[in-house]
Amino acid sequence: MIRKSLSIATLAFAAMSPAHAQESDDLSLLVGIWAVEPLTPWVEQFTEETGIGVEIQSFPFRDLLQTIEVRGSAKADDVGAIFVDAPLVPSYAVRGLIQPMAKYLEGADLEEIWAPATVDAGSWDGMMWAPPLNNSSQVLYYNRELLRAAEIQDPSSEESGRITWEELVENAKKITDSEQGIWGMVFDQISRYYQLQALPESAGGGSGVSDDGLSVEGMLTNDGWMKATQFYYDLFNTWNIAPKGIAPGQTAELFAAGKVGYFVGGHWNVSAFQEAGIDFGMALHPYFEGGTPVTGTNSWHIGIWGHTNRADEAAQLVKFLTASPEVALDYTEKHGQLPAHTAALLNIDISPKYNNMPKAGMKLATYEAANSAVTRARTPAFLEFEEIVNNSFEDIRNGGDPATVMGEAEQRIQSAMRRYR
Amino acid sequence: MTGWWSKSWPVMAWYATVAVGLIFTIAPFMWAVAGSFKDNPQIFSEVSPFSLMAFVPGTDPSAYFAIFQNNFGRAVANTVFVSVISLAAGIIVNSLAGFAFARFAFPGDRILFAFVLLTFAVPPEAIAIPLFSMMRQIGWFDSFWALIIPGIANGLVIFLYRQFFAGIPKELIEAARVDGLSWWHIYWTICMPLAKPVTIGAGLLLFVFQWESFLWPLIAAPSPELHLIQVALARFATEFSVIWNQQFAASTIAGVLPLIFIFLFQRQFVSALTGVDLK
Amino acid sequence: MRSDKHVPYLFLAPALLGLVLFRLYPIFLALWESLFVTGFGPAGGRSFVGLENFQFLFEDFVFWRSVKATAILTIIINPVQIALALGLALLLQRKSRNIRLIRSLFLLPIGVALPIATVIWGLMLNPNQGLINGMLDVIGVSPQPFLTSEAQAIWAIVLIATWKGVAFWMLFLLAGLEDIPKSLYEAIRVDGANWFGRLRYVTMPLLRRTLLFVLVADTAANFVLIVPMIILTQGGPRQTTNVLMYEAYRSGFIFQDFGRSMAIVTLLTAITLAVIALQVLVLGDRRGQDK
Repeated sequence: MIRKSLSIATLAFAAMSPAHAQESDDLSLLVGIWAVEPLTPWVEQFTEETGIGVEIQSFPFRDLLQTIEVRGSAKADDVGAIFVDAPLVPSYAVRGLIQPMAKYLEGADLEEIWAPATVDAGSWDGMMWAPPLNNSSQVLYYNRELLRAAEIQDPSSEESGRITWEELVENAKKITDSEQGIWGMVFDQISRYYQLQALPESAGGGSGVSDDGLSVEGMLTNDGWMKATQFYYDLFNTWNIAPKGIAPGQTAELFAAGKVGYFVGGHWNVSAFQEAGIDFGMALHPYFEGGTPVTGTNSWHIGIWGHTNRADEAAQLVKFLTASPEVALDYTEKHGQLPAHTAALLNIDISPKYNNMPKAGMKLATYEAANSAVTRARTPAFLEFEEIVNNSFEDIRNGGDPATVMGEAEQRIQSAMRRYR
Repeated sequence: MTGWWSKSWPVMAWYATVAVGLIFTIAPFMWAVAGSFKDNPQIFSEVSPFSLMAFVPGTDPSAYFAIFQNNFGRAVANTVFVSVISLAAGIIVNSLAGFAFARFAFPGDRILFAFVLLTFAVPPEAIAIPLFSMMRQIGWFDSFWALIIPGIANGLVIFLYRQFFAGIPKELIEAARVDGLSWWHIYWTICMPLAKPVTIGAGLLLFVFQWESFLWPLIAAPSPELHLIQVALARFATEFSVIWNQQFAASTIAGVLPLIFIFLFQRQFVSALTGVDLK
Repeated sequence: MRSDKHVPYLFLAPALLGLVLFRLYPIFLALWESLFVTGFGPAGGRSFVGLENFQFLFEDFVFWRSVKATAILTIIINPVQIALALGLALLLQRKSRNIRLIRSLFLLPIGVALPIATVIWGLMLNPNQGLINGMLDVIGVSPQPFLTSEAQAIWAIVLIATWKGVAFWMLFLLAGLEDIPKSLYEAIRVDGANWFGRLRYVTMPLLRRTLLFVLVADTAANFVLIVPMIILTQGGPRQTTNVLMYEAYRSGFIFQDFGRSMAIVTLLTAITLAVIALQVLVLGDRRGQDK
């Protein structure tokens, strides 16, 4: 009996060795789960051309960030390259999770390869760390039926007719019908800085962080931020035209179910809304009257893993995936991703395929990405900053006083930043 | 009439209170299990306007298929693996200690036993964060080692075994000693078979302890391939917050397995947990 | 005869090693690591800062709000749970035809892990589509915000933890009740005492020890209640559920500030021990009267 138990125990413990002790010469590439299918054929081609084996490891968004932190704290050297969410570029760079890519791109005019905003997003401290793979953008969706029923004109997809927040609110009040569970408007990434940054930026409040990324003193309580956060408060608490208690991810479903008039959200929602079979249109993102048109954006980048000892090979892979026009075209055409690569951007501009829905939505998104997109706050303390700002938006949505909440957020972030100075 | 009433109103009140309490206790289970067999529009439509159909199971098992496609099976397998190893190792390690405390007088025994009792006064959550830091230092972080080893030694289980072994008649053990049996033999071939009820209770305790652990596996083994069932469930609830039927299905699976064990061994479990013998 | 001197130590070694390493050592490790800060600035790296983490905590309004949240939760949840557990124990003490079945049903939540209870109750309390608001609507009560409201969130957490925990504490009290000799009740009944009299003069005094144990253990357990905060509230709204345990977790695992995290853990452990000691001192002093 005991011998049997012991041998079982031995077997079992042999299976317990740390999770990532794979014996393999392949370079691993950590990617988001959504990118596996589009990138696999290209990674195979890379192996064919260079003889460097690559193993793709994929994770859902949260797990990806977590895995990167975990492997970073273990200083794991079995990773080659990683997906990098744009706002985390400074954080990863400062903490040594990625290595600079600059020396592998010497001599190239980066802004000729990629859209300038995405080049900025991949840079920190004056050099390129993680080149962009793709971009994303925010647009305004509207439910034609609900607008028609309230006798409201469709919002415009021309710059000259871009709708203002003030106008949108007035319309949304007419659409809202709490008896029927119909809401005037809703955000895609509700209470997330990612999307809501567009509000203070449009009101002239800036990104919320100082230029060196190490201070928020007075930056979250300036007039622009106060106007934006008061506006956000009113949406849910004064005008009651948007729903409380609904998480990001649920809001798109609400629009797809025909229960929302205006939906401010990512361009990638188009296909889901088409599948849902609702009658919807797309227009340019709203802005504050007298302010500037601004949209949130987010690009994905690929960087060389900070603890790898095969940086040269990893750099080849990064370059191949991000700088090859073929990869960018394919990623855009077949998989509906907004490109960062100039060749693919040009293609959207000139190809007739992009004149009709749903691909016309892409054109709108491209326009926003090129003309109104701002990068998120650039700070190595972005994880802390984002967490606190998101919580603050959520507190305001639930009825917290904007001035108090943002004042406290400022203090908290300021003290969290002390460790980066 | 009044006589009947005055006599039976305490009984009626008793039943009424019990009924209210039971509804409060049971309703969440029924809603969750029923909802795990429905699609989401149906779940929502039965809530507003509220209908008692919300507690009647549907017939659609697709939520269960869906969660297993979402890697829930991996979490279940991990949890069974971790729980079974913890159970086996925990029984041996702790019963040995219980045996030593029960059958020997040795220098330091009182202090050591007091220390054992004190360790189960400290809630495991309170030390989870420094323990995490320790795992990182010794390189066990994000491995099965971290999930299993720290939970094996358990003061409560040691205590249970000590109480039981102390009650075994002295003569039995002395006779065995006279026959020349080693202490190991006495422990393994005489005392452990006698301790079967304790072993069932303690084993269940160790099993359930692992099955229900959350904070520790969340921080000590964050890689998706190491997720245990409660962590996977929580991740599900935050990542797929809209898909209620799958949350219900995952909750049902995570909840049902230990419930079956507990129901089968209810008496041993309760007495192991509390030292209370339910009659 | 061989010497047996080493035998008990051999038998004890694995368990004691485990307890010392994984239960005792981490307490001191927390204290030690609370004296360091990991920086990412140009100076960078881990450095010894003495009591700076503590000093920083005491000047931080988030920490004090966390202390307040913990105090409020402690003051609400423990009396509620113990009162309900006692009520339930008195209720189930009664012999009735189906008492075993009824007791088993009440015990069901013990077998359900807290994350499961949290997920299910999170959906029950969903302000838009949750079951509770659906049921409230039937009796004409308007929808409640529950976890999204500063005023209600802490109560929602009390509700979840109580649903899960009350049967567990009830078990101890039920056992305590069954240990009270029936003859005492008979005696006082003869004296003409009613139900309340019996409760006041027999049950409560004789249950004192069990109650003290439950109070201490329940308090200790609720000080580290963190699952509903991780899964549902993330400490919000406006930090009303940001108890010390969650603030420690968040400092470490979201903000990567382990010095602060360890400082909070150290304080929390100290507070827990102090409160428990106080309870034992205040309530346990009349032990002589138990007999």
